Amino acid sequence: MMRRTLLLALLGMMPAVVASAAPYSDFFNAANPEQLGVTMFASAIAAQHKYVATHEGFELEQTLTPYVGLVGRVSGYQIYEGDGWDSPLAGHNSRPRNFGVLMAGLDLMPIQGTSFKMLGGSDVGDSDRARLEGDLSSWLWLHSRHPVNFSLTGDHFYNNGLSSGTVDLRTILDSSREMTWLIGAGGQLWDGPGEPHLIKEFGPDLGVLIRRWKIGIDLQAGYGNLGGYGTVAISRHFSWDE
Amino acid sequence: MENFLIAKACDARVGMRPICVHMRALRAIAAIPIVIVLICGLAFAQQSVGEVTKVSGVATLEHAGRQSQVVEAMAVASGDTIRTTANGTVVVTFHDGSKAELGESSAFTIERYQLSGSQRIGALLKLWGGHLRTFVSALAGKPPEFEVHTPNSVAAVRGTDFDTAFVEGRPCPEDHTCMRYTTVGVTTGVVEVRNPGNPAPAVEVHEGYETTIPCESPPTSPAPLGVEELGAPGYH
Repeated sequence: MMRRTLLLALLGMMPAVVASAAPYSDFFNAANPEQLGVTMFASAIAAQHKYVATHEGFELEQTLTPYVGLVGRVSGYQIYEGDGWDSPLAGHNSRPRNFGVLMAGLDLMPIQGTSFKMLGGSDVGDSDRARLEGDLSSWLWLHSRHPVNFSLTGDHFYNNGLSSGTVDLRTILDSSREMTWLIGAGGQLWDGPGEPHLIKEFGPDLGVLIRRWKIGIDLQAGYGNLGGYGTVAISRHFSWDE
Repeated sequence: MENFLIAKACDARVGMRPICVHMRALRAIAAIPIVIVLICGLAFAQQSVGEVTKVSGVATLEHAGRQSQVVEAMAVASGDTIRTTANGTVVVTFHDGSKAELGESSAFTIERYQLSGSQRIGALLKLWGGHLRTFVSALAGKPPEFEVHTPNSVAAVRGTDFDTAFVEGRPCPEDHTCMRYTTVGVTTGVVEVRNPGNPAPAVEVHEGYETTIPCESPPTSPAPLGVEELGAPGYH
């Protein structure tokens, strides 16, 4: 009797489960049309008297389904002095280090404006060990006067055991046909062998998207355990329907 | 005048009268198409509501069932449809000073454009697909009476500069299951947007904002221009 009641209850729940699954009923369908995107990027960070790092490359993203994309990234790093927060080579001060990074993974986009990338790969060059990366970005209150973007990234470098992360909170300040301006605050933090404690640096940031050219420019400046720092990043996005 | 002179000459040479009558008939018949073309041209000129002021790439204009390639200074009238190819863009300047910029791979029809002199009484443009930017000349103290329709939206102008795009065959960012949607982005002024297939009230879109109308749904609450791009893969 008990088993029968349970079965009936389960059957009764099924429509509700199916109904709640409806928004993702196309989860395994191929994206239509599929899209190939390429983002070229370059960035630099300079920390007072400590280090300068530059990073450039491109990222390919191929949509598979409306919610899942394949991501591949090829980039290069140059670290000019000191021990960098994103350097898997902490401890070597003799010369600039150059290395490439090859990463690949998945981009999950469960809801509009939210993306979670999981990437894994390896360094080549002055660093040659594996690294892992996770990137979360979510736009909140998209249909409001000032939508808010929250982003979080985390990396682990097997070369030196360091882990680092960035956090950023931004909102759209103003938008026009030509440009979208963003303002917010963020920073980076890292820890691992060789670091006395969790190192942090935070500051305000300003971004602009030049809509016609799909070019994004972001600036950040602030203060942390290593003194003052500044970052600049530029990216250009291209996409093609297939 | 020419026919009159021929007739006079024939009257003077009575012996040639049958040939002259024949020639006169031929001349009259030959004049018919010229007169028709002139009348049509005059009628078209009277109906002209604007002209093409810029063309790049290839575009066609359909007027009274006939298609011709769009060239600069070509007159446009109510009922005309302009289509652009993958690399084509067209700017139409209406006689009231308003402008419509048709983007690549797009098509729109001037459903109705009523003018009194150079003053607009009412206008209705229908965007069938692609992108249309509209600059609407303002009339002091009068509502603009200017609408842009797509198959699932009506954008009634309360301002002067806005973009409309109708996309078919791609998933709407707001609803992946919807494959036809309209976006209306406002650069200057205010545009009132509604979906005629949905009883929900119209949404007012102010300067710097855009709305999306997915399939039969009502317009979304306005979001800042560019937020769709920022939320797309590649900008995270």
